[in-house]
Amino acid sequence: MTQEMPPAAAAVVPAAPRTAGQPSLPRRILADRNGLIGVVLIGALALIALASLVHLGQDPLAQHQSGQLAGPSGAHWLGTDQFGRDIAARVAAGIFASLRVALVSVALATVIGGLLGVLSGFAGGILDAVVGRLTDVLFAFPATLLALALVAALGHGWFNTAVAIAVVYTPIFVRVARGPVLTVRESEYVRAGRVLGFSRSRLLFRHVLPNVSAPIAVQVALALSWAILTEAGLSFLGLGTQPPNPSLGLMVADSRNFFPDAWWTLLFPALAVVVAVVGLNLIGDGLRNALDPRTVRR
Amino acid sequence: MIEVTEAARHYRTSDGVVRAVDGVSFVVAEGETLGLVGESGCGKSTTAKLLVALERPTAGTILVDGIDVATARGAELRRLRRTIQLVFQDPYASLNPRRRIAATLAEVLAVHDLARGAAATRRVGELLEMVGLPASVGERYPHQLSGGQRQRVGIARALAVEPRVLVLDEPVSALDVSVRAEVMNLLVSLRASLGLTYLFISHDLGMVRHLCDRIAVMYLGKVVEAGGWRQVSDDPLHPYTRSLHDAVPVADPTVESGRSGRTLTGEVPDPAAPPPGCRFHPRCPIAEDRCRTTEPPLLAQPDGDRLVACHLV
Amino acid sequence: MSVLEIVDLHAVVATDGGELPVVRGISLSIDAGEIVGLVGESGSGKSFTALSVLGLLPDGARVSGGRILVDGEDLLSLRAAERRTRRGGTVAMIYQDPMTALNPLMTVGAQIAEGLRAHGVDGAEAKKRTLAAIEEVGLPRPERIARSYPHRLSGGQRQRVVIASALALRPKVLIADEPTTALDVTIQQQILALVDELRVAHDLAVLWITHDLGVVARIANRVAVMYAGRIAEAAPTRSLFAAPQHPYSAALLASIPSPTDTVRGPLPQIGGAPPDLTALPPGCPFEPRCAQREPGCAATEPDPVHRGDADTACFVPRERWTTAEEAG
Repeated sequence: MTQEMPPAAAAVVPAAPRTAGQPSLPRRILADRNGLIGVVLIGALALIALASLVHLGQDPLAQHQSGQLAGPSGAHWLGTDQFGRDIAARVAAGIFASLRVALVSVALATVIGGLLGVLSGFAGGILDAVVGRLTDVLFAFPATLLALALVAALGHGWFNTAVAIAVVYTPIFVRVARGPVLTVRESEYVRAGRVLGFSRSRLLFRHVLPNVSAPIAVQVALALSWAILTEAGLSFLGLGTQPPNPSLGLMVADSRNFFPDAWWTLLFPALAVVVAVVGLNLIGDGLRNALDPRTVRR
Repeated sequence: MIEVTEAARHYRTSDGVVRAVDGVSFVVAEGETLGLVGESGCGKSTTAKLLVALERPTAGTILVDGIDVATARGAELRRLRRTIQLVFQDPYASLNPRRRIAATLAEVLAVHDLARGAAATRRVGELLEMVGLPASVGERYPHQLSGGQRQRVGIARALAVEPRVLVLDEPVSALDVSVRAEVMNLLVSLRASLGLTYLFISHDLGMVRHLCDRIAVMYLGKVVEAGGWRQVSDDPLHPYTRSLHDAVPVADPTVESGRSGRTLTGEVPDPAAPPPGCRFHPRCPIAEDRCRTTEPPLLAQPDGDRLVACHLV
Repeated sequence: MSVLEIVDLHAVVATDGGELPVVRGISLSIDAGEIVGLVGESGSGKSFTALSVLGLLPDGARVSGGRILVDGEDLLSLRAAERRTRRGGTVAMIYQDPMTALNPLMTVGAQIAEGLRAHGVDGAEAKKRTLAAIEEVGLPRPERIARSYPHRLSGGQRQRVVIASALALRPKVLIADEPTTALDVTIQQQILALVDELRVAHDLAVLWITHDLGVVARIANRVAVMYAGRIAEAAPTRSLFAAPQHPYSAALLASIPSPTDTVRGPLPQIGGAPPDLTALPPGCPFEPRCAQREPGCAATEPDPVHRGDADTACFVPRERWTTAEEAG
């Protein structure tokens, strides 16, 4: 340089902010109070679900002739149902079934819907128009009715239930992904990348995707909680998990005839659903806060 | 270095055809700085986009170092990217918020196969030093920098490909007053040390006057006056340039109180329906009948290197 | 006499690291028919000062001390409901982005009339005064404008509508928060001329917040320059530009390219950055960047003193300044 920059010019960098060594994402979620509570709740449910897999407790299908509709006791911590089956074991297995359907359905919806949304938003044109109309059509059906119809058409089984729920949620992910992509695509840093000669795939995967991942991740947590409710709803209506397999929705449905006398038949499966939904929503809140780089500073 | 001939960029919208740039011609010699002045809707930002091939012209030709911007593809387009770069107005919006500064700069080097690994780290340090930033800035995220530092990073990123031309789109408008001087001085010293050619786009006549060799004034998609910096800024001929000169507040109460108090009436017309004849005539204080019907050509003036598009000068 | 008097105003913003002092003892008075320019860079506290006067500080921010007197009445001692009637009624505001001040779903006329009705003006009278207000800000065909939605108007027209709405209730004080920054220069010129006209017509006291020293030179009678939450210098406009009494004002003025330079050298820079408000130095906040600093400057923070025409918070009188930095 021909001309010396005055030393004081911009050489003064403000004191290193706390973000200098930014903690990892899981740490940031745990640092958020809502996120922490959510993770604890869902972690507990997941442990219970895993315990049911290895039959740590009772067999959820075994009928104990000695005590039908027996209250909580040392032998059956959460009591038994009308067939004398252990409610603790059935709730644990029901949680596993719910989480399995929720995870698989939301994974499908996220990958398919998210990809369609990102691609259609980034590419625009005909792809965007076609995807847009398709999502409009799917949105036109009431969600629960659509899921009901799909399960009826596909037949029973947990995977078919998951597919039905995935179809219902895919358009939500298309929209959640597409909106921010439209904003980010027009952002100046993407424009700067174009001027600098970055390829379209580099712009899409390195610059657009990371900046739209936050709303998608938040949506994943929320969709998981809805999926659990939907699965429970379908089972309640007799279209999800089939008896004698344990399911939270089915247990709530069965308890209708007994709960005035045997409250434990209703309370524990319903509680499991509530805890799952609240926990996932809290994780969604925590994610939202953790993923915004600007909130870290405050 | 830059040769723009009758370039036009029209957009089809629901309101009709918007003529953002409508037949603009200018030349910028190597090492020269041209200032492009005008208000919103005059087409100066669209001109910038045309030069860096963010948009393609709908008519006319644009040559940058001999490369035809309208048709450049593949290797030719890559050569264009390495010849001309853009510095944005808002340095915050133009940096990816999730990337550290060093990663942002290193990515440019990698994409153009200029440096990788340790060589890239060294080059990133050099680039930051070139714009007056310590190497430690590389470890920061954009939100951890001040406005002036961010704009220095924006300049460093543009310089990473070793371009010969920088298009500066309002590079100091978003900055605090005291920081503007720093960035302006940096631009002056980089121009001298790297032999850069600048196209400086601004609505701030004072900054344009400070940095540019020549100035072109745009109104509604057309150049209305162009000439040397002192000619255009101190002795404007076109009625629009004169109005602009009077409208810009100057940080000097003596000058300000000596103003005529005449204000330009009306607003810039819709570029989808430009007025017939001279586009400035509805607001022009001296318009005559022929101004309403015949569009004045951009003509050379007797005082040398100046062009004015007005029937009445 | 002064209509607006701000006395030793303090304001803080709550952050994770405690309360940040954003306004640190500001005193300022504005007479009827006077425009005072409040100049400062981002973070100087100029917007917080303005919002304090209106009682519209954002969440987490609060006035922590001082008085704000309008016609002798302390706004800070009023109850919320009374405060509301003063807002708009005696103190009005115009904004940088007129679109944010207008409801996109209401016609412009309905919005102005709504403001009037909220302050007790009844239907027919509100309508009449709405049209009069639109006409007064120089908009053609007031009936047509009144029936328009904000998005149908241009930026300049919108700003005029906001001004009409602000002045419809005949306030005594107008707070203008960079109302021309987003506008083109020829439109800015029109708005500046309009506000100046209205100031004369209604004897308005105007606090004009801006970072543009050119705008200040054009319309302000007096200028207050803010730095790190305090007023560094307050002076009549001509005096401040001719002979600034604070090194920060001097440096700010010097950093702007002069419209008459024939040789274009490097612009004088201030260098450094404003202090971190969480860790203010004990002395003058400008001392680390100051070209005129003396050994005592870092020890205690200077209080404003009267020097020449100005009140300046600086220990070092102009006569002792060393470099040629004082812009001429």
